Order: sequence, then C-alpha cells, then structure tokens
Amino acid sequence: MDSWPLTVTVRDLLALPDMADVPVVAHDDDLDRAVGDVRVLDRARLAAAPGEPPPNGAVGGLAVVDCADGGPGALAGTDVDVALRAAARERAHALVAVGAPRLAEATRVLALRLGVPLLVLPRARATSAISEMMLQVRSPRVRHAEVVCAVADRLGRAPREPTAVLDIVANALQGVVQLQSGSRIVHAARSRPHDPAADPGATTVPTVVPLGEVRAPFTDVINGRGTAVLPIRTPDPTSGQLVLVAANRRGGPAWRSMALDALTVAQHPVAAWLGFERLSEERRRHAASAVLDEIAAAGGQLSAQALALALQLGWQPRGWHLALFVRPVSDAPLDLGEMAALEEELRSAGLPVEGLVPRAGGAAGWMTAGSSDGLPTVAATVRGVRAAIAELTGRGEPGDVVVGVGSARSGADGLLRSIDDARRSALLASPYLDQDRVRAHSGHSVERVLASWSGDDLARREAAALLGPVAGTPSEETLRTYLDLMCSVSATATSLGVHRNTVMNRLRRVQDDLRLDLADPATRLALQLALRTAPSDRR
Amino acid sequence: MAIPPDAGRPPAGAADRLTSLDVDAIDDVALGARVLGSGGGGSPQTLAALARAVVGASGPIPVVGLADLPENGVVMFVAQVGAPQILRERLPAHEARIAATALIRHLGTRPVAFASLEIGGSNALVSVPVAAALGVPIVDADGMGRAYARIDQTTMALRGIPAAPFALASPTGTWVLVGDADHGRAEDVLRAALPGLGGAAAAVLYAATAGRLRGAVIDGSLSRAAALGRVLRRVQERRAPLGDFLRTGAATALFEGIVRRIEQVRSGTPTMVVTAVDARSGAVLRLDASEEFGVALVDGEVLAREPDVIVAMDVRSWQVVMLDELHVGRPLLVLRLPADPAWHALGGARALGGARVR
Repeated sequence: MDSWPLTVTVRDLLALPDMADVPVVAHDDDLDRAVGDVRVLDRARLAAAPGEPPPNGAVGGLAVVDCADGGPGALAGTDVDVALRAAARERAHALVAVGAPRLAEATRVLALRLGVPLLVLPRARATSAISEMMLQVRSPRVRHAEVVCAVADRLGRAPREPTAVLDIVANALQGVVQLQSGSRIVHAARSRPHDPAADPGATTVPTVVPLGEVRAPFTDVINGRGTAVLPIRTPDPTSGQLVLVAANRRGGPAWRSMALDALTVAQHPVAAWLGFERLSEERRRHAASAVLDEIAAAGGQLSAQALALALQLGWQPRGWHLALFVRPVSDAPLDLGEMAALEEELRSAGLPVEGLVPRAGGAAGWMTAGSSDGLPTVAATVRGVRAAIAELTGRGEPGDVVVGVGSARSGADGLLRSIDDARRSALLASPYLDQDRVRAHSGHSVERVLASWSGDDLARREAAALLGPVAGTPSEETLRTYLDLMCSVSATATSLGVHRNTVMNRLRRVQDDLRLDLADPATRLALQLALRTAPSDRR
Repeated sequence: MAIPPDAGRPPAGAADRLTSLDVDAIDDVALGARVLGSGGGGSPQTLAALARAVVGASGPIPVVGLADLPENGVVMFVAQVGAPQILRERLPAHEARIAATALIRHLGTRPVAFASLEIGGSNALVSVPVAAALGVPIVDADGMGRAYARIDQTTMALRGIPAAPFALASPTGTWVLVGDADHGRAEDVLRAALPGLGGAAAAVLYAATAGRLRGAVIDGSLSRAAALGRVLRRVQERRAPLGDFLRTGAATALFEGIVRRIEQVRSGTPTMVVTAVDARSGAVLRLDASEEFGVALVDGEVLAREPDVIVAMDVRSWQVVMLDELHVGRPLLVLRLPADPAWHALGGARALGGARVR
C-alpha cells in the first residue's frame, strides 16, 4: 500500500466531488503538478505589474479568481484571460475561475500557451468546492480519512450486494469502481455526476484494466487514468483471480492512495458476497445434475417429480435438444468461474446454451427448441464453440478444455443421448492447441470404439504413465505427428519445419526414453491411442 | 505592452486642418472613417458617393472650427440611426433635411453649421448634403471620435448637453419630433420610434450654441479622418511605408497573426470574440466586440480598450477590416489608436462601461 502522499496534484483536486465534472482546459502533463496552497487572486494581484514578484507562498499554488464582477470598463469574459496571465506571472499551478462565462477560444488557447490549467467552477458550487480544495491541499490526511470513513460507514448500513457496494465506493471516490475477473468485468459502478451534460467523460467509463497476476495491492496510472487495484481474497482458492479496480481520469496520487484504502474497506463485503454466490451457484448446478441423473436412472423416462424439477430449472425436456460437452484436458474439474465465462462466450457467439451442468469428466450444456428446425445446425454450433474458445484462450481463460458437440434429439431421453454423443466427441477432440479442439458427433462405429477407449479411466492413467518420460517435450510432438502422418519421416519433417535427421533423432530418443520399438505395429497403435487420451498439459 | 495611462493623440496643427471638403477630401475622409469606425459604424461608401454628388453640384463645402463660429450660433449634429442592414441597403434621400427643417421650426432658429455625430463609419459624411442644402458650413468636430452604437455615447452627453430636442425623419417624409428627454430616455424614445420610420432614419440632434459646445466635442475629427485616409491610401498603393500611417494616427501595433476563430460568447450582452494566433511567437489575440471592437488582449494583457480605436488591417493589402469582414484564416495587423484626450478629460472611459446595443 502507498505511503501517505506528501503532495496533492491538480488532478487530485479535479477528482473532488464538487469538481468532478467541471470543464478543464490543460495539457495533461500540467495536471500532475503539485499544489501547495489555495488563495484568491484579488483585483490588486490581477493588476500587478509584469515584473512585480509574487507574494510569499503564491508560487505553486492554486489561484482562484471571481469572474462575476467585471469591474468598471471591463467586458465580461476577458477577466479570465487577465487572470490567466496573472496566475502565470505568479507561477500558480492552476487557476480556478468562479462563475466564468462560456470560454472563448482565445481563453482556451491562452491557458494552454501559458501552461496554467484552467478550471471553470459554477458559482453555485463555489463555496463548497473551494472549501473541499482547501481541505485537500492543506490537510490531505483529513480528507483521506473522511472519505475512507464515509465508505466504511455507508457500507455498514447498506445491502451487501456487490453493485450496491461498488456504487457506494464509486460515489465516494467520484470515479468508476469495478470487480474484475481476469479480463472480464463482473460488476461495475460509476459515480453520479453533478451535471452529466457538462463533461460526461470526467470520471471514467468502466473499461477492462489490463492486469497480469496481481499479488499485492498497487496504484498506478493505467491508460491515462489514476488507478488503484486490490486483489480479493475469496473463500474459494480455486476460483480465478478477482480484483477490485478504482479508476478516474482525474485521479492523482492522493486520490489513488485514498481509492486503495476505500477498496480495502469494500473488499470484505464483496468477498463475503462472492462466497455466498458461489454456494448458491454450486447448489443450483448440482441440483440440475441431479435431475439429469434421475432421468438417466429412469431409463430416459420423465417422472412427474423430475418433470417438475426440470420445469423449475427453466428446462423444456420435451423439446428438441442439441448438447455440448466440455471436457477439461487435465483431470481437474471445471470451476464455477470457468463455467460462467464459457457460458457467457457461448451466448455471445449466438448459442443460447442452458447453464452448464457438472457431469462426470466435465460439464454438459444444451440448446432446446420446439422443433429441430429451431436449433442451430451442428456446423454452426461447432463454429460458435470454436469462436468462444478462441475468445477465452485469447484472454488466458478458462482452463484448457475441449468440446464435443452432440446431435439434435428430442425428448428427455433424447437429451441424455445428445449429451452422451457430445461427451464421446469431446473424448476424441484433440487436446493440442494447434489442432481443432471442437469435435462434432459423427455416429460412426470408429468413434464409438475410440470413445470407449478414451473414456476409460484406467486406460487414461495407463496412457499417462506410458507417455510420462516424453510428456511436454518436442519428442512427444514429433511422435504424434509421425504417427498421424502414417509414419512418414519426410512428411513429419515438413509438417514440423525441421530437418528429417532431427525427426530421426527425436524418434530415436523416444524409443530410448520409452524403451519401445517403433517398428512394432502394436507399439505404434498403443502410443497413438495414448497420445489421444493422455490427460497431460499439451501446451 | 500596456496601455499608456495618459495616451492621447497630438492635437492637429492649424496647417493640418481641413478648410473645405472637396471630392478628394471626401474620399480621404471616407477611408479615414473606416479606420475610426473601430471595426464598426457601417461603410461610409454610400454617403461618400452622395457627398461627392452634392459637392460636384454645388462646389466644395466649407469646413470650420467651433472657434470660427459665433458664440450664440446654433450647431446641429446629424446621424443616420437604425438597423445596420437597412442603412446598408436603403439609399439616403432628403430625410436629413426634413429632420433638420422640423427641428429648425421647433427651435425657431437656423443653425450656423452642421456636424456629424460620429466620425467613425458611415456617419462621417452624413452632414454634407444637409449643410449644402441649407448653405451652411460643416464643423470639423464630432461627438465620438470613433463609432458608437448609441446616441448618448458622446462627449456632449458627458458635458451635460442633451440630445433633445431632436427630430427623426424617414425617406418617405415621415418625421418625429421629440421635444425633451434626458440622455438615457432620448435613446429609448429614438429606438421606439424607429420601427415606424422603416427601421432606420436620419436624426438631427444635440442642437446647441457653439459657445456651449466648445470643449464638449471631439475637435478636429474630420481633419483627422482626412489625414488618416490620405496616408492610408498611399500605404495601400505602396507609395508610403506603414510607419507613416502609424505616426499620423499616433497608432501602436499590438499584434500580427491569423484569425483562428470567430464566435459569439453570451455573457449578459452578446459579444463577438475573435481569436487570432501569431504562428511565430504563439501569442494569442482576443478581440471582443459588440458592434465595434471594444477591447483587445494579447496573451491576457489588455492592450487597448474603448474609447481607444482598435483597427484590424489585412496585412496583405492594408485594407481596414470591419467586424463583419473578418473570417478564419485572414492575416491581421491590429492597431490601437489612442482615444481623443477629451474622453479622458470628461471621464468618458468610465462612463462607457455600460451595455451597448446598436
């Protein structure tokens, strides 16, 4: 966590509640200058001679000028220009123009030319905004504590849904606060602006913050926005990493430090909610799995109780179904976060899949329609699943999976059979990243034979033991390619882009490591089956 | 650069004074009136053409100073008032003479001379036809030294000389006589009468004796306009350097750059704000105007303010650029011609702080 900030920048002042949507004219870099004090630029200072030295304490301060009184002979509006010049002369780090009219182009150009950030404050907010700025500049620790305590106080009295929690923090910080899982925003909240028309981009729109693995809280400027990031400790260590992120385009170091402490306060209700949600989600998915088990136990018949439960879950068991089966490449079961992410991507890809239901060896999902014509075709489903997996892989989630697509079937019995088709296809889908990880059911006998082999736990364990010495090495890839290409050394060398002598050397090493003879047809058959089923990490 | 507190133009010497207005002098005055319009006041071309026709028919018009007139001789001021668009499009006829006749009847005395109410813009030569018609000279003076939008923005008003009684007349012969009104009320009454007179009219006003007017007018303004016009024409014809013009007008160059934006900023009264930038130095000009240029700031420093005359010139041709002739990308030289000392002597700079609407 950051130490207490010693300085407050212009950007920090812009993040104050009364300043969040005020118009600003400034070069972005000029907003990062420290502000030493706040003082009024009176008429005498405006009229000071160019060479006259600034008063004590004026340098590096925030100058405030009241533009309502144009003074004798003055035309309204020019006062801001005069004040900008005076502020530059006194080396102020920003000018707050209270009650200024709509800025002319000349004023904007001048502010940029002189390097004096210009903040236009509505008269109605002047008193509260200036007192806020004075507190922030003169007593940043008090301001910091005020905001963090306010968050704690409101959280203590508010409902514990994450949206309500994030809303409280966002409004206290005048920024955007989001709960992020990997590269996905789970929940987000934005502060309510004083005047949405004034500067709608003043806070920030919720945007995924590119993060690697976050081990500790930190603050930084990310994509031009002041950002605080806090990893959340969830009750479930297997769930993906969740972080709370607060961001504000106008968030300086003081704001970022304050945001991090506010997030620290907010993380506990969020973590508690996540634990509760996880329990509810698990309960729902296992209830769904139990209904499928009951239908299977009844030989595909739908008892009145099972029908009632299915309808309760929103299913239409008597319709037409097209199932998917998601199989993790490793033996680790899919966690809830992975299932939720995959469901979301499948729906984004145009596949209206019911919630994935945990099954032995993976998870099943299906689409239902009143007739077979109402379902997506198998080919369209395969394309959609490929797109969803590509999207998730691109974001580094979920875990390594392959997917089988079943065939369209009707009724409760048809649902079970479609799931079984999809499961067998998933067993045959290639676990290798460079190959197609989605396989559609063909109904061919070869598929059934291979599925029987791949689905057998003992066979899978034996296969893993057989390939263990070469698992994950270039030799394994060479062996797989060699067997797939009808044991042609030349074709293997071409496919891998290596010299044929390299292929020969690797195959020789495989034989040495595995103590096998590739000239033996039974050995080749066993190795090819093992390579298709071994549950190792194939990256 | 800051405005010198006691700035003022040097008084015209006797040798520089106009003594009569011939065709050449009319052209000089018309060009000088564009300069003194401070970006507004309307174009003097139409009334200059009328004045040339009058002078061509009846010979040069005598020009006199107030000191040359009898103490009790009455001087009347003439102006075209009303909507600028109408004044630009409607050719003047005999309305000034009709208004003058109405006021003469009301007062029961003939004027010994006429004067233009404002030297800046179209009104610079408005008194020529009526003076020629009544056979009296015109006075080398006006009430503004530049252009202003209201009839009460004059040095006479500052001295307490009322605009009323005054007469208004339209080209169709309709006339209105206002017997008495204080300064602010005179403007209101005039504005109220204009719609009935077609939106614009000739006004004959500020009738006062020469003795009372002495020290209450901008003296020598016709000569000043003629001198400025004469030199500026030579500059435009590349027969004289710009410095000659600056010296003649006691002018200061404030800024040179390109117009970047022209916008209306409403703050109480609508104000046009012109932004220009000097590409070499980065300096920023802000020129605020309602009907005329009112204040010029460079890099946030006020370098000119009414009643100074602020002049924008196109650096390619040295043409005087009026407010409605500005456009983005036009290269400008902006000058300050100091206000006549009479304004400062009478406290006019302070009095002009109010709203101004033509």
